[in-house]
Amino acid sequence: MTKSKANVKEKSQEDRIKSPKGMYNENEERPTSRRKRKIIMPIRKGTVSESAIRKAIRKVMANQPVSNGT
Amino acid sequence: MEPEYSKSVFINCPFDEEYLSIFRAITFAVIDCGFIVRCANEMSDSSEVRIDKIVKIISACKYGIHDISRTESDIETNLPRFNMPFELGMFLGAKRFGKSDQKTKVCLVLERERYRYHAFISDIAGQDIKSHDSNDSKALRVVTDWLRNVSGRKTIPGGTEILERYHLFNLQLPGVCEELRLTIEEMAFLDYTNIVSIWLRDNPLLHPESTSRG
Repeated sequence: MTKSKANVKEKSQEDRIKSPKGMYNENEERPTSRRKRKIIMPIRKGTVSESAIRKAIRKVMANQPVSNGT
Repeated sequence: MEPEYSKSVFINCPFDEEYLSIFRAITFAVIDCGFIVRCANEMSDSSEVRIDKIVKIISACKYGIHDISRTESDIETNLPRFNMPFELGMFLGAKRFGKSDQKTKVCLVLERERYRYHAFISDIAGQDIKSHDSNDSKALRVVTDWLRNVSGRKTIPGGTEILERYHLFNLQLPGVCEELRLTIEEMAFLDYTNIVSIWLRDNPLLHPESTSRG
C-alpha cells in the first residue's frame, strides 16, 4: 500500500469515529444503520396557524431537549 | 387534494371528555405509524349533511378503527348513542357491497372488555375485535400492532416504541398549549392532529435497525 493511500485510510477511520456529527464517544456503542418513518398526515386548517404551532413546539423543545433514544 | 385511500384511517369513536385520552392516543398512533387520520370531527362545513360527510370519509378510507365500547345511556336523555355501531355498519356495508377498492377495506373493532360485545351486537363476531380496558396506552398498542399487521409495513415498530414517543409528546404538550394560549381540553381535533404531525416531523424516529421491536 502506498503512503498516500495509507493516509487516506487512516483519515477515514478517524472520521468514522467522529461521525455522525461527533455524537458518540470513541468507546460508545453506535447503531449500525438508521431508518426514518415518514409522517404523511397533512396540516389542515385549524384554529391556530401552522407557524404558531411550529414556534411553540420549538420553544418547548429548546427548554426540554429530546434525547431521541440515543 | 383528497388524501390517498390506502393510507387513510377512519376513526369512529365517542368524542366525549371521558373518552378523550383514548381518542388522542389512537390518533397519535395512526399518525406516527405513517397514516392519515380521518374522522367526523374534522368537518367544519355546516352546510353539508352530517351523514353525507361521514359517507364521504368512509369511502375515502381503506382502514377503519371502530370503538363500540360506549353503551351507557346519555346522562341528559337517558338513552344510548347508536352512532358508533351505525358507522361501523356503514363501513362493513361499503366493504361488502362497494366497488373494487372498497372491498379491500379492513377494520379493527375496539371494545372495553374482550367478549362484552356478544351481549349487544353479536352479529359482528368474526371481525377483528380487541379490548382496550378503557386504557389509552393499551388502545395505542392495540392500534399500532393492528396497523403493522394489516398494512404489512416493516417501518412500523411495536407499540412500546410508539408509546414511549407518546409519553414524551404528552410531557411537552402542556407547554405547547400554553404557548398557543389554549388549554389541552380546548384544543380542537384539527389543532391536535396538526400539533402531533408537526411534533413528529420535528422528532423523527431514528432508531438502530438492530433494536428489537415488541
